[in-house]
Amino acid sequence: MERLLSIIYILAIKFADVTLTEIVDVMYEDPVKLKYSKTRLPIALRFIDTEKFTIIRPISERPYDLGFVGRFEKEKGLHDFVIAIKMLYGRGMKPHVLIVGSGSLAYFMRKNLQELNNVKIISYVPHKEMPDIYNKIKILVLPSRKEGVPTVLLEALACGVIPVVSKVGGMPWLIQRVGVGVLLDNFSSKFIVNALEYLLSLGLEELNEMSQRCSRFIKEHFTLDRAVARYKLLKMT
Amino acid sequence: MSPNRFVSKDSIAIFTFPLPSPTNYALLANLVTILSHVYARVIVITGGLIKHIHEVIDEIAHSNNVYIYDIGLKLPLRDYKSPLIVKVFTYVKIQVKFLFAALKFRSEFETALFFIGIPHMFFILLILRLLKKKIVVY
Repeated sequence: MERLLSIIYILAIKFADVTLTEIVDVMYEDPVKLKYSKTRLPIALRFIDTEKFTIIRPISERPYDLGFVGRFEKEKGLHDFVIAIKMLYGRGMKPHVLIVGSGSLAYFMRKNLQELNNVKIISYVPHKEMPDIYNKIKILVLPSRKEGVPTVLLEALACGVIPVVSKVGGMPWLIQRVGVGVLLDNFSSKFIVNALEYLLSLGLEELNEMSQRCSRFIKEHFTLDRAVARYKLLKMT
Repeated sequence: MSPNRFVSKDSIAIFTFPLPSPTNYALLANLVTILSHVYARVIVITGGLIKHIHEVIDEIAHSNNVYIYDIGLKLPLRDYKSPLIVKVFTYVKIQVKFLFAALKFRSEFETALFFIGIPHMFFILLILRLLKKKIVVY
């Protein structure tokens, strides 16, 4: 079924006059879009409501060291994330972890993490309550295998959450521009552990400075005005 | 140029397949908000939106140039236990209602943007292509 849907998706791109993408850097673009698009427009970055998604709580007052927000699916790299948390516990670090989401790996997540005291899993949070959730987290981990530019990452950055993300889709381009956070060179859980150990060893002042930079970047670059200006290109194409 | 022709040139229709995840509706709201500042009229064709309106109301409910056509159906959740025949029937019904909506509004837009669940709307895409609409896929 997945194979059939992929073939139909390719046909849809071939028949389309314009393909929109969030990924500016062609190096990380979906090969299907690169190969089959008649006109590829990298204008699809959304805007973030930075009045709602902003720093409400400074990083020093956030109860959770680590967080994950998203679908509980294999492509999100959750197996590696779970192993990484267990490895941190094995090394005597017991970070407080908040995990928000649902999906086919929900049982796997609960089964593997319920024994750890400092891990909390929430299945569903309305979008309006997400600013409060992000403001409870210091570091967001997104070890995905496939992504565009996830809304979760943009919203979390706006709320001053420091990112640890894989080098896929539009995430490397974004993190390099923000200049804060860690890009995972490899999907291995060891790389996640190394990144987290590094960030958790930093002082609160340094983390606070990083948090402010994340939020500032989104406020400057992901406004509605900027998104509207980008989308005007679609009308002209 | 007739007024209707002018309206259709400055209008866009967004087709988004009614998948069950509520997060899709937040993404849709974001896109619609942006496009409502670019086009004179934005027509959204989707399903099951009423149940998720609390997710999107802040963003799009107050835009007077946004028209939402809700087909009143959406796919059941993946883990929802229902007989295969019911799922297939719902799927076919969604296809028919989407086709009906596309034909109903065809003179009111020049650009059709296919957003979430593109492979599920391929048949509608082909029809609109034959009707010489500008096809955009996300």
